[in-house]
Amino acid sequence: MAKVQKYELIVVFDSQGDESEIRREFDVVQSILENRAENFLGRAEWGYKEFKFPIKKRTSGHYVYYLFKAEPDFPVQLGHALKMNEKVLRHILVRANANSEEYLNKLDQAAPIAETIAPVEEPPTELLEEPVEELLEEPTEEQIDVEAQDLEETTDISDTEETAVVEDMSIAEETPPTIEEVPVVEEVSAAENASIIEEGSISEEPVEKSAEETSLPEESDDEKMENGGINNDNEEEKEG
Amino acid sequence: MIMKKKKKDRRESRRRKPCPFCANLELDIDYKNIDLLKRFVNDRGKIVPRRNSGVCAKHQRAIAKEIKRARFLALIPYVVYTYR
Repeated sequence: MAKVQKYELIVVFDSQGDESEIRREFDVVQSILENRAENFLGRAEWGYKEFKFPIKKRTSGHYVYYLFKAEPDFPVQLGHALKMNEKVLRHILVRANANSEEYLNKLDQAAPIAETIAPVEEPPTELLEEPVEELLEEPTEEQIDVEAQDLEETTDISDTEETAVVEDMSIAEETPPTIEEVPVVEEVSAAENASIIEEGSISEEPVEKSAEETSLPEESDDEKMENGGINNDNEEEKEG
Repeated sequence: MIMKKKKKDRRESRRRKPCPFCANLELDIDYKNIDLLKRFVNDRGKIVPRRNSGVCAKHQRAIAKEIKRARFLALIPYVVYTYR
């Protein structure tokens, strides 16, 4: 006995013709698998898809996915049977992965069969007219109300922002607006945030900042030294 | 001579990114997963070489095989013509 393998088959059916005829072809292929294969695991439909390039002068087709178990002799017989079928544009038979059954279950759960086939014949003109009227009549009033509410909210926000700005300005007005004392204003605001209103703290901060400022150039000096070292190396290389 | 030395240093310092499929084993290379395969096909429809895509040799072979299967089913084009 030869070893039974799990295979997955994708068949591309011709989309020209009635849906009932196309569905009959799906069932024909399934019946072949059910009768001759060892174990038929399931079928899922990808549905109507347009080709990226024309196949036998067709631009679109129905894709159907089959999963089954069979002996190694069976794929050859199946290939002959599918080649004889005129409605089959293309087919591919691949040995299945470990994930193929999960994929089949996903497709079954995600899309019921009726929705996967694209409706071609009936353009829904009557259905389109009603919603358009509804859209024109009802939501306009709602939209106006919503817009009005949004405007009110925005005005409220703007008021709060204005008050905040005014408060800031009042803080700024308390201190004399001379150019020399501009950093003092920032220090005061920082002190308010930290809920500390001591003059000593304000006087201490700039000293720290100055210390930081002084520390930065030292690092830059180190970097310069490093860069200088690299430059010296390069010079040495050039000399060499 | 100096220029050659500099170039060598740059090459040595450049570290190759790990293969996305080796890094993430959950990624399934399959002809049905077209969105994934499209990342490894350029705008003309050609398979991107692994020196550009950063995929390891093992997974590049798998990708190439699955792209060819997807092409056969007309899910991905063989060639994309760009007219002037």
